[in-house]
Amino acid sequence: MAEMITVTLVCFSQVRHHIGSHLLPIELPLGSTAGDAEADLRSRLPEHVRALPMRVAVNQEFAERSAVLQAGDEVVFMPPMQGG
Amino acid sequence: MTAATDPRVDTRITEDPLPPLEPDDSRVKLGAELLFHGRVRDEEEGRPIVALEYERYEGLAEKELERVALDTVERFPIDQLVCWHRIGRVGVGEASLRVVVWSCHRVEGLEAMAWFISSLKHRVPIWKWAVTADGERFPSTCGHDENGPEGDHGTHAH
Repeated sequence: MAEMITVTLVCFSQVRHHIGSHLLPIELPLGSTAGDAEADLRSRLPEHVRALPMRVAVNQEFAERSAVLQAGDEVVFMPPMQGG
Repeated sequence: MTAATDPRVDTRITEDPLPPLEPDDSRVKLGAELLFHGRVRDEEEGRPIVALEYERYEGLAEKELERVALDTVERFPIDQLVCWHRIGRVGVGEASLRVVVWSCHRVEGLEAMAWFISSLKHRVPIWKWAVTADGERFPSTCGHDENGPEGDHGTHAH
């Protein structure tokens, strides 16, 4: 059985609204990428939110979907931004 | 809240109301002082509201706001850029955003202001929730993707 790691998804805006929580810990196989975490998250979202373009951040910095996650990482999938 | 290290930029994210802007008559070589306040309108997506609640990805929002300001002072020949963005609850009519740009002449200041605000809207991880008079709270669905200032809304801009 694959070794698992736990990362925490931090949810904002429409993602937070539909997940119902700001923080969502998920388990992934060791060696998983941000893209793998995104697939997990999007599977929990309704179609119209799943379809949103999202930028990725890991540990408070923008990241690529190919970034390999470590146990305890903070991972964020950011829907279109709304500052101003 | 974060304080920038480059003296040309001062960026902050704060939960406090924006203080009055004090007049400054000491900038004797700068002929243009531009002030922009973004204020909360009384409707969101066609529904009447009483406030917006801004949330940000703490840490990255502060860093990216400063980077957008630094990109602006590198791109345009302006002297200084100040940007304060409120988070938390901001009532209708109140300012959520203040930007001040100082430059020798108006043209570069106006261009820098427009580019900075558009870039901020696309790049800084801040989102808004609308609050109605009966207390309902819903996330705004109108956002800006990562295409940048040139890829803004086709039919409206805000």
